Amino acid sequence: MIPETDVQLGAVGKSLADNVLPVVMASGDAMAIEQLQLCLTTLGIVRQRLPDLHAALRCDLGDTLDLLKSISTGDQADSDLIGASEDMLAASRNSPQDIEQQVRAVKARIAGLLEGARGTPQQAKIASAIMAAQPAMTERQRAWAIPMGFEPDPSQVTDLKQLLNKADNT
Amino acid sequence: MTLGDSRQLPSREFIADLRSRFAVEPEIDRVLTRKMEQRAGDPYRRVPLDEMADHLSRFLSDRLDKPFTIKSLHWMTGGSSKLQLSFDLEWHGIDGSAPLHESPMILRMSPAESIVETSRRREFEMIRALAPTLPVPVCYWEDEDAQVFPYPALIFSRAQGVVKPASDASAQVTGLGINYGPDLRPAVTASFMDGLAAMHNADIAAMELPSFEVPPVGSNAGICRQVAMWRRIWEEDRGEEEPLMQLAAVWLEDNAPALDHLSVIHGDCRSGNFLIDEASGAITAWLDWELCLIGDRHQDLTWATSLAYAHMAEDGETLLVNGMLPLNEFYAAYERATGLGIDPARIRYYRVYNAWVAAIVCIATGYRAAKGGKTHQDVVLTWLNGIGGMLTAQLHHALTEAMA
Repeated sequence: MIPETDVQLGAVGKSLADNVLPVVMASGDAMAIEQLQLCLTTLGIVRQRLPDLHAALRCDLGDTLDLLKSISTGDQADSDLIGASEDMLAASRNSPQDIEQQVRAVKARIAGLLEGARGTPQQAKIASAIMAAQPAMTERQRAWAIPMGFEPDPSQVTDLKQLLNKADNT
Repeated sequence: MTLGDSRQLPSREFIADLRSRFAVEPEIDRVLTRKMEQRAGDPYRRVPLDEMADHLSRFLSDRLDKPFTIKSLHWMTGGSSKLQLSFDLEWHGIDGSAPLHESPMILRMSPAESIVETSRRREFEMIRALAPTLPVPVCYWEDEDAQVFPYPALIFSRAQGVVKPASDASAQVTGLGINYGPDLRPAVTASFMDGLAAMHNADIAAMELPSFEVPPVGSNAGICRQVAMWRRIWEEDRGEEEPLMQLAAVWLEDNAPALDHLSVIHGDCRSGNFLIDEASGAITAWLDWELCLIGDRHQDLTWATSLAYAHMAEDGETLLVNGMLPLNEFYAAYERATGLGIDPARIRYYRVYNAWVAAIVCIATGYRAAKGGKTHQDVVLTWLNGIGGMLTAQLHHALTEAMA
């Protein structure tokens, strides 16, 4: 078997917390203490979120793709991009990095369509579509970052697993 | 080459294209161009304390005629943008005429890139210009061109006071959402309003600010320059395009309001960016001037009243903006203190602007600086990246209100 990533990350965190942190704390170096604590917390969040990365990126691609379809002018470049994105969603072996690059390409095209539509009747339509599509994407970003503690009222943000499960069922 | 690569290893053509597309103030153009020209270069190098002591000693030797001694030099923590060193300087004053005495000092230095890329020279000029009317540190020297220090630097007096009272329980990394407590809160609020009155009614024509442009009143040219600056920063730093960010940029350009009154704008005007006397609640020094500019007071007002710096009062029901007052009472106190009116349309505009800017800083510039290993605390920048969803939600909300 290949080494289990979750166990590796857990071991690294425990080693740092048990053996390195006490020494750094004793040093009294405030910046080193602050940064090591932040490193440990970050490591814990990465460990927690890593299993959901692929599913979350697929949701991003699905949402941005839907947005592009709703505003596309139907030219060949859009058709190619939409086709490639659908192929990627249909396949199961693409890496998170591949999906991320595809999301970036789709988002760039949407932004380009908005810029190109400035001063035309199409501008308002594209603006409305972007505004309508944003909340689902934002909700997922907020859910992803809940463990970081920025949300003033975390109970107002839907749990990430629920959001991903919901996307799987639609 | 991917889009990401063109930003991580920018070509001369890429840099020139952005400079031509987005016209900004000359000093800002200089700083942003320097950032892009150095991006493909080395990551931030941790500078040992001994080396900093040598740089500081050489810098002071070139500027002081009388003998001096540097004491208690040490790195400071806090903030996510610049490096800061604290030291005590035993000297005869800047012109050598004073008896030997000790002055507490701070050396503030940029890392190789920063979550906000700004000019130490502008910061230096503004702090000095405001000194007669506002409690600010005494600004002594700048080394914006990094002729002595490894990176651009500024030296000013270390003011007395605390960022937050010992009783405050909030623990976010950059001092957001400070709770001054019911006893100190009224005095801190009054002092804050006095400070805004001094800034927003400053006699700009009488101030020496050669690195700033003064925008024309009655025109939207100033805010259009600012939007162009942040569009350029977004294009320089982002990891990926975001349709909502593009939509906000377009809306800000299409709806830019004319300036009705010239003000000094702090640019990061909020609790956490000033020191208070813990006994009286009076502000002892306004800090962190790196985003200052001359512009529209509604920018500072909407920044200070962002939900990010609010918290609930002791009753558990009343939201206190900037840790001070409910929103409407905050506005009323501002109008009383400054004699300046608040325009709801401009408030809506600057809510969009500020939410958009905050998102650019955290999503784009923080990401890019950390990706290149350009700062002394990249782990803090990646941490702040996590606030992106909340900032995007804030931007969406502000745009929804403004577009209604």
